[in-house]
Amino acid sequence: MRNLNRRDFIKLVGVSSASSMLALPIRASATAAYRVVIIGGGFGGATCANYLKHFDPAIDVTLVEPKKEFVTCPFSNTVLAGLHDMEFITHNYDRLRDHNKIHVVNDTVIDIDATKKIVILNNGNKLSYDRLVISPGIGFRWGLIKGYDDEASHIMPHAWRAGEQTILLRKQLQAMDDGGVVIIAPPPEPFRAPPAPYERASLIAYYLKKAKPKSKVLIVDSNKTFAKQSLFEAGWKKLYPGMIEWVSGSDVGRIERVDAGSMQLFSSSGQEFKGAVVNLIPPQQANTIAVNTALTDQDGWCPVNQKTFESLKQKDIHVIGDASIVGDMPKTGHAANTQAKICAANIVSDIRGVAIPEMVYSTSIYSLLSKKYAISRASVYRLKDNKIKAVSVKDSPNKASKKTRLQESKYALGWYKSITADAFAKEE
Amino acid sequence: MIKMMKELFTIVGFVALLFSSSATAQGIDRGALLATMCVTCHGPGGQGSKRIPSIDNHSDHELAEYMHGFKEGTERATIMDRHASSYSDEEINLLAKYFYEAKQ
Ligand SMILES: Cc1cc2nc3c(=O)[nH]c(=O)nc-3n(C[C@H](O)[C@H](O)[C@H](O)COP(=O)(O)OP(=O)(O)OC[C@H]3O[C@@H](n4cnc5c(N)ncnc54)[C@H](O)[C@@H]3O)c2cc1C
Repeated sequence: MRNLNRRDFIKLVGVSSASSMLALPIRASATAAYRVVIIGGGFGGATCANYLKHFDPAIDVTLVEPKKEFVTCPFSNTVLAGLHDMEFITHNYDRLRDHNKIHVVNDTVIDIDATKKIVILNNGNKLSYDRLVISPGIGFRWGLIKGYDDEASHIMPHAWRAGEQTILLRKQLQAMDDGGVVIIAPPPEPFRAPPAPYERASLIAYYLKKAKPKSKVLIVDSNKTFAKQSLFEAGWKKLYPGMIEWVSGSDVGRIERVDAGSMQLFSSSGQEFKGAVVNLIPPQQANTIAVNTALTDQDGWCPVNQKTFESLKQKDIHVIGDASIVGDMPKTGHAANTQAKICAANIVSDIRGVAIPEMVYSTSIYSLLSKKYAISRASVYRLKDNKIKAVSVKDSPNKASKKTRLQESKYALGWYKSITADAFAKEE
Repeated sequence: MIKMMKELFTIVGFVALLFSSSATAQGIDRGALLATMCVTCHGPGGQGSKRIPSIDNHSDHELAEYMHGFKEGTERATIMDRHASSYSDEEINLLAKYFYEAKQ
């Protein structure tokens, strides 16, 4: 006993140094081997994987995603404009796997057994989970517009999931004769990225103004108003006078039928529209896996507990991103990012049996009208009576200097760099 | 012996303290959680992203002052005024403290 000093004592209790005692992961022992499987490596899923690891490195996180590389919808309109190439909007999962120690499984989930708590992959493999997070994005309601199916989408691209469709639309714009009409037809709300059709109209006009100045953009809308409308309309007047025309949903009703052969759209109000290029954005719902596993409601979206994002249909399954119904939050990548973090914090807190602190959710949605002109919507949300409510939704001022619009276009780029670094763990 | 016992108690006490404090430390700190919203635009750790300013290089006092200024409209902003106005003073101070301490 005489020689027992501090060092010996530490040996006795099985810890070799005071500093490693500090690092002794008590919390890890409570969560070790706790398995979270995430379906979908987009804005919601990839971010959630990172933040689970951030809050608790001991959690075993598996991300299932069929694509080896993810092409973002954000900034895909700049590719249509010729401002960026596809590479700029393409991201891989290398750092998630190698640096953040997330198991990345390159496959599609075809079924979920919520009783046995396993997901079934296309290759037949099964993954068991303690908690499942799904962020599968959107699917299309093909049946709602007569004549518009997967095949027709190769003639009238939607380009609402970025990748091949983006390239196709860009090629069509390049091949179009000067003087052609480009139709953009947004679906009725709710749909992915409410301001994005109008950003697209702007950036297509940006390209046309340079390359084919006699051409026009016609927005055939199924909605009566749209996000940041007065800002967009003022910008169009200034940047592309006479080039962009918007036909309101109060005139159009909605698109009922298309004829891909004659490039025509037929509306419920009896009007016909014909374009040289037609970008038809079909009505949407949660992606197939959510629909097939009964996580959706009658409208095709997933109801969740808005505090935890746990499905109201299945225990231990959380749904985030575009697929979920999250109070006042529109379906945006920034919203998916926000939900992913809070979902991760909830899962970690729940495992440890502690409460999660009161949260404030913030999103900034930028829209580019040209290379040097952008506008934004800053929204702040809080949880009230278990619903996510907007406490403020504030747009860029209607009157602003050229410098302010330029500043916002630079911020838009900074936002893109930063949110993709957050999701795909990229070093900036 | 007495010295040794004293040392032992100190260590036992230290271990006990560690365990009890990490029991509460298991909860996610509110400042850290709120800060997850900032880094979406301001880059990993708040280091800045392209023209979006860094927020990891101010004293806590300074960062809070900026945010209060944005909130009150006394500090010129492009977008931060629109965010800051919906944060409470307490939340602003928590965020400033978090980014300051994370950098130390
Ligand atoms: C033109 C355009 C511009 C946009 N601009 C912006 C913007 O500026 N700012 C903004 O915040 N948002 C923007 N958005 C919206 C943004 O793209 C979406 O809100 C965001 O991608 C939603 O994230 P998510 O995780 O729900 O879905 P996604 O990001 O689409 O990710 C879903 C992933 O799940 C995978 N998946 C699906 N099913 C399965 C399965 N069964 N098994 C495994 N994996 C599966 C898919 O392959 C996909 O990778 C824009 C959208 C468009 C169309």
